[in-house]
Amino acid sequence: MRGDPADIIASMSDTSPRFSITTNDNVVTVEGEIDAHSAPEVGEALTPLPGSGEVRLDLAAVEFIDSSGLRVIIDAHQRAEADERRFVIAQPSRAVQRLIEISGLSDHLNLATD
Amino acid sequence: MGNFGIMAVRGEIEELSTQFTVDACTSQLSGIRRIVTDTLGRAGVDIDVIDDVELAVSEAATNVIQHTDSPTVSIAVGECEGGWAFDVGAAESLLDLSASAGPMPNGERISGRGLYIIRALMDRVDVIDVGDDRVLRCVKFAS
Repeated sequence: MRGDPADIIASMSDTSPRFSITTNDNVVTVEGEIDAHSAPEVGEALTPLPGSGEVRLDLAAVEFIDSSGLRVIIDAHQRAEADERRFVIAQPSRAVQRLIEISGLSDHLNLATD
Repeated sequence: MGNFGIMAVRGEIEELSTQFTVDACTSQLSGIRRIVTDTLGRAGVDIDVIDDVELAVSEAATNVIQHTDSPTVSIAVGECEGGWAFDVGAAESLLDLSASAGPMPNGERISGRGLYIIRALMDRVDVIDVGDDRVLRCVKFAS
């Protein structure tokens, strides 16, 4: 894509982050993109850990995630462990699975594909 | 950043596809990724390569936004021999690539994974000087 950089920048006015979070008892569902902009909201939804017992973070509809999102996940995982609760990443999307694998965390996190 | 002459480095970047500068705000990250992936998609690049570049660009841009005082982030994407290269401007904080030369941080470490991820995804990662600018240049060869 060539063009005046000003045109490119102007075209970014309609590129707001695509992201949503819902919490239902002990299940937090995130859809869209998790990056440095949206990761803090995911962290807030997981602080304190919702419900009781096992916490499930449903990431089936996550289209993109980077280390900012991973940081929030690891933090929640560690807090759950400290509370003797199980933190499960439910139905991780391809993007989520790929990042966890690249980061060498497949054996550290609890992934559920059911 | 002044004249953003990222692609002035001769001998590597063969054709510039896009370059742009945006405010150094996390709200710009989605748009940055979209421009880069659209550029590569229109060029017919393999989806796996696009996914890798998308993640690496996001990590690099985030690094500039969160760890430098630069008011802007500049990105350039171009074709090089055998693949694609992208540059991220305002890369002063990325000078110490040796810090990410070792293994990925273990599961107990919460932060500091961004540069490791970039290295894991890209075939080449360098900090180079282009005029008065210092940029992070990443190269991904076509699979």
